[in-house]
Amino acid sequence: MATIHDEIDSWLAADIHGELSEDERSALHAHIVDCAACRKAHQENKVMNKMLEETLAQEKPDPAFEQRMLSGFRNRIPERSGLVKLLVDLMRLRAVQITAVTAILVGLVQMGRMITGENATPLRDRERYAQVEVAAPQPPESRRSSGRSG
Amino acid sequence: MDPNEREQYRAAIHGERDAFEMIIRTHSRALFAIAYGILQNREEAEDAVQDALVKAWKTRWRVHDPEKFPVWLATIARHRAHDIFRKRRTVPLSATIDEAIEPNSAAGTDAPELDQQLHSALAALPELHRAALTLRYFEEMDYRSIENILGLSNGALRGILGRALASMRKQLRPALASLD
Repeated sequence: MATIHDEIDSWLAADIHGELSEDERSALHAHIVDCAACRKAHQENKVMNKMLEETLAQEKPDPAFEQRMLSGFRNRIPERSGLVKLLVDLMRLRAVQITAVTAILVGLVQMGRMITGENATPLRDRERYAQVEVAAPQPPESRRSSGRSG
Repeated sequence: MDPNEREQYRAAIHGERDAFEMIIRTHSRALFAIAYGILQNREEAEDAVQDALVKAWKTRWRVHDPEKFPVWLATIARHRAHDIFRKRRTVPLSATIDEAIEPNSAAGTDAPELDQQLHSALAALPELHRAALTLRYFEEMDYRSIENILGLSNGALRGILGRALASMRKQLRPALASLD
């Protein structure tokens, strides 16, 4: 198992950033008292932490930054007009989405019927007609010839 | 994640502009810190954040889990900052680093040499280390918030920040000794 000394860098960073629990901090500070190398690193880290705080504070964005980001966003993505916005909002509703998909499917079926010229005969009726045709014993010509012979 | 925050992300993903604009208000500084960590130039970092926000709005439907929204947003900002970095990287890296620290040195002709050394040490770190450091020092974010936005575990973040500070400490040791 790794000791504090083995992972001193992450312990020291968490310490100066105030991210150690009370127990962890006690353990770290007990180790620092005993270990000169870690004590030196701890001291250097404290100085560098201060340097980073002071130097990077100058690079922080100014107070108007958020407003600038917001204005830039609004300029580049203008808000939709009332009707378009209403349509888009409506399309977010699941019921409207299902209705729209159903309407498209029905439309496609109708278009298919118009193109193929097929009428709207239900499948069950079609099967019945097919059975009637199969059941018919002879074609009209043979019926005629059999009538003559009889 | 806080339920209100989660609801805000969900609303933004579903195209509610007010929710997205609230996210711009609350997250743009963190995104700036990430972009600055890569670019070390304020104007470019600001452009990267602006582009990232527009891209995020246009592609928000790609996020299925609202909890992943902040990491996703940060990733877009990182990629955009990388794009900007690559475009200007037609000169050797050392020259790029010098260029990156230029705005600071231009701020005052007698800017301390120590600041320049610090920026050079920062520029030499891996990108993720810089992002974690800038989030910590720009926004004073606690580890939990940094983990959330960078998608890291606590152990990973501790390791990254530890290695980042150790690396900078080694580079700046003479200067630190003089300050101590």
